Amino acid sequence: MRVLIVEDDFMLCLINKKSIELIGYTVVATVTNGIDAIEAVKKYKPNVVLMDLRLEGGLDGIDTMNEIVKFANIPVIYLTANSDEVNKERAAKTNILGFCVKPVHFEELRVLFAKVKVK
Amino acid sequence: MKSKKGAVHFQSEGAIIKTINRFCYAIAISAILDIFLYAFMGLYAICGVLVVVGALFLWFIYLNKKSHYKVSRAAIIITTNMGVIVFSAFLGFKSGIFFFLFATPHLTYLLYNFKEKFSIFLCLLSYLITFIAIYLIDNYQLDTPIAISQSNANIIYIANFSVSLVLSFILIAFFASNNNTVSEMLTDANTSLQDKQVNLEKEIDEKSKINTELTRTLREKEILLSEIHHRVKNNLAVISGLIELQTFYVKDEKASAILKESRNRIKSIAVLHEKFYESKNLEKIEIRSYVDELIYFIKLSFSSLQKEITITTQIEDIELSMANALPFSLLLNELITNSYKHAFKDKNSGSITISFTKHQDKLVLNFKDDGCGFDVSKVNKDNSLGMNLIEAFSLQLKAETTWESEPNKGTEFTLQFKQNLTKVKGHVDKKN
Repeated sequence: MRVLIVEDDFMLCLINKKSIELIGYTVVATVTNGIDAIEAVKKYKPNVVLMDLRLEGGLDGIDTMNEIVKFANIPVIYLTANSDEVNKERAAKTNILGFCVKPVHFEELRVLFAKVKVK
Repeated sequence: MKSKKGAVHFQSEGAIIKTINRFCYAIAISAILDIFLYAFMGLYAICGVLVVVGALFLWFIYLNKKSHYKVSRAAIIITTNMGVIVFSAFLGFKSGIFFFLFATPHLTYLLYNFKEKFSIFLCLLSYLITFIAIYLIDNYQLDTPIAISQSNANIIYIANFSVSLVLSFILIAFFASNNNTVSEMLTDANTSLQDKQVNLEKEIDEKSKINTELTRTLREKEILLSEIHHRVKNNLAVISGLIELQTFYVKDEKASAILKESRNRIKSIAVLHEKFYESKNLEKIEIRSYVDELIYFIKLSFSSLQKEITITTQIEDIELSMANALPFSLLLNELITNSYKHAFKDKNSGSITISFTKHQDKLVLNFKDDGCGFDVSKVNKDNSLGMNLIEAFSLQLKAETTWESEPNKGTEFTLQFKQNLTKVKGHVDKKN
């Protein structure tokens, strides 16, 4: 399974990438902002996106997924504890796999990745 | 009140009272002078009437001072009408007493507000009726009750004409003076209002600037807080992530378990931090959703043990302050971890029950598992970090704790502590 990591902290990107690879998945790219995430989805066609809510640049995680969902209905795991009604409503059109609180543990990712149906 | 300068006729209550007083004094003085005049002519009956009139007007001043100016005003109107009729009846129409009636419109305007139109109308009508009455009395009266020589009649006529003329001028002057005073008052009031308006506008402008500044400062504070929160969260994630990565490279199971426990402790703090940031007031967090989150990731971290552990919670809607939430969350983390690690080591399934309730002013955490239990008296705290931490966090909460456990009969732990910043709304039972 191919995973795209969207995270504004470079070190966390590396740690998450390594963790995900160690539990047996492929990380196709790690990006730090919404625009690069959209481009990475177009280029690498990942099966799942691990999306931080806060990103560099003008787009946040939900805005970015709302753009991505226009051309690819990719499941997304949002990294936030703030799964309140406002965020749920904003993210309603996206294919939500779950909301996780940082630091996300590999066991949590395993459970969520297991839900993804790889074509 | 009309705003056109010079055309304003507005009488304040004070102005009316002043006019009544002045008019009454003027009539009383005139009456005294007239007494001398009529006494000189030998008309003593008229002198008597004048004494009564003078006394009446002095009484009106007294009434006025007692704040009965409306009564006083009505009495003046009635007395002046009656006075003119009586004097005409005694001295005849040709005595010229009717000249006084020409001064009455000004008097009316001085005694009433422009708004009191009906009263003014009644007043003027009364003077008109009086005028018609004295004319008719003169027409139908064959002779005046008091015989007056022609020379005296001429003197009285001239005196009445002169006095009424002077009175009219005085009243007109009063009228103009009052109007000017009112206009000046209005101009002053307008100027004062304009000054106040300018000051108020300045004040509003200053307040608006302060508000803008406050809003900007608040926004800066929010951005700063968000940035700090983000960095703390990411730093915790980095530490936790590094520990997690280490677990992949550690072959020793004990070392791996220790690393996982450390990682879980960091996660407990990170989730708590996130919940505080989410909460609207940044002072308290709602503990139920936090406990659910805690149980979820602890269960996941022990999923490799492949045991069927059911965790049932009964958490009331309680909010905890940061000072209490941190030791409480770490303590709960240790309790659940200890049960997973030790209570069910020889079993494939089991259950844990957690309740957190409020009893009067105390919060009570009750933790129960149906595991293997242990002999509380034989626990060597030197060898158990978990037990040490539970004791330390209990001390931090200033809590009373009790352990009840026997081998093969499960373990029950109760913790009671006080918290000032708590709020109880209800409770929800949940099975995880």
